[in-house]
Amino acid sequence: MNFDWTKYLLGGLIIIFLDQILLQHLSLWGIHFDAVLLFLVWTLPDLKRIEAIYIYGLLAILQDALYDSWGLMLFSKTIIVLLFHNYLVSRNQGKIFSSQFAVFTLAIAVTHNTVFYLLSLITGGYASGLWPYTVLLLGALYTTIISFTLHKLLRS
Amino acid sequence: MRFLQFDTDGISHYFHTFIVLLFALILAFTRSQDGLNSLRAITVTAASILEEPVSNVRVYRNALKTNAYLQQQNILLQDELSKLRSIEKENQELKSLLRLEESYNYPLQITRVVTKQLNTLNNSLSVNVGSNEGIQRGMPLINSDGLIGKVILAASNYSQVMPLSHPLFRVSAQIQDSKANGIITWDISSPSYLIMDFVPKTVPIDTGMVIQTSGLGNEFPAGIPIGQVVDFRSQEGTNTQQLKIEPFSKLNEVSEGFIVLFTSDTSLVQLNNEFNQLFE
Repeated sequence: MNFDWTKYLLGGLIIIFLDQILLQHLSLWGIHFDAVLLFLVWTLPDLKRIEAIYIYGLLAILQDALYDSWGLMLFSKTIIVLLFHNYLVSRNQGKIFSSQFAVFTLAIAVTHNTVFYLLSLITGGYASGLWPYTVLLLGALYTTIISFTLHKLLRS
Repeated sequence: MRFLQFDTDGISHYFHTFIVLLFALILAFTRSQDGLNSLRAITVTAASILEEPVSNVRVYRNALKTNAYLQQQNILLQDELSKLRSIEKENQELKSLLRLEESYNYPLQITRVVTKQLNTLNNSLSVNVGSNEGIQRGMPLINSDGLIGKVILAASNYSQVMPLSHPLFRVSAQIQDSKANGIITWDISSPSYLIMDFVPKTVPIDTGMVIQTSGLGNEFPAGIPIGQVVDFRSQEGTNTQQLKIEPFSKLNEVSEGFIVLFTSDTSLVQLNNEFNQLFE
């Protein structure tokens, strides 16, 4: 029986715990980075798609519960897994530069936040207007910067 | 068991994705309904429990900031309180001076003490009025407590005053009750007190008696309070006694006062001169 997926689930739970007690306080001018999305970008190529859908789905539900954004995180992250899994797996075969990794992260974060925003508009969970979307885009940029920095530090 | 191993791949993942997305949409669209409220309450509680340790740190940091701010405010308020107390005291002094001016027979010139030199034998005060305001040599400086000194130099805008506590200061005084006369001088051996000499032994004296200017000598107007008797003793070999006087005015605390625009009566001076010439 293969239980390798449990270490990713455990890692994700630790990330959520750290995010809740510590990382979410590292906001800049009210802009947060998504630690679970960061974890997703780093670990998505190592998982099969079905595993990824359920593991990130579970983590996203926890995020939804903690941030009271029921269903939005789950939907957005599942879409990300659906759209980017194959691409990231294929790109992960060779060596990847930090700048490339940053571009992937930015694309994923922008897509994730756009889906999140559009769905929130439909469900009425967030106030409409450009400012929330601007915050989300800046949040995506923040996530990318953190991701790029970590990639530089860990892969150097 | 195949599900737990996640070995299913291929076209079936679309089905799983669809299920998860459908679940997400149901959650998203039902979040505002009552069904999720109890679950939301539980997660809010859980999030609060997780947040609490960090929020304690934040509270502590805020407390430090608040403490620093309050300390700064405390210093500012202390400073302001000190200023207000000073203003209150000045206000009381000015009020008492105002009452004095209303009750006085002679014209008065209000003045402020600008310099003080009270720690030497040659003590002096300077005030911010001079000959331009009609100040002349010999005029007494008083406040609501009593006599402070007399003008010894008058410049155009400033005057110098010889205070009671000067070795050369002399003033003719009398006991308020008995009208017995004497001469007031400064007690150099006990700088906080004055001495009144030449009071006849026949005059009954008691502590607490008020001493005031007599008006004799045509130098100061009569009735300016000087101090009160705190001690007295007979002088050996003479028929007079010496009184120890505590002055009413506290020179160290004086900041404002009046100069009494009193000048010697020239006819009286002339009469004295003529009297003296009769015996020459």
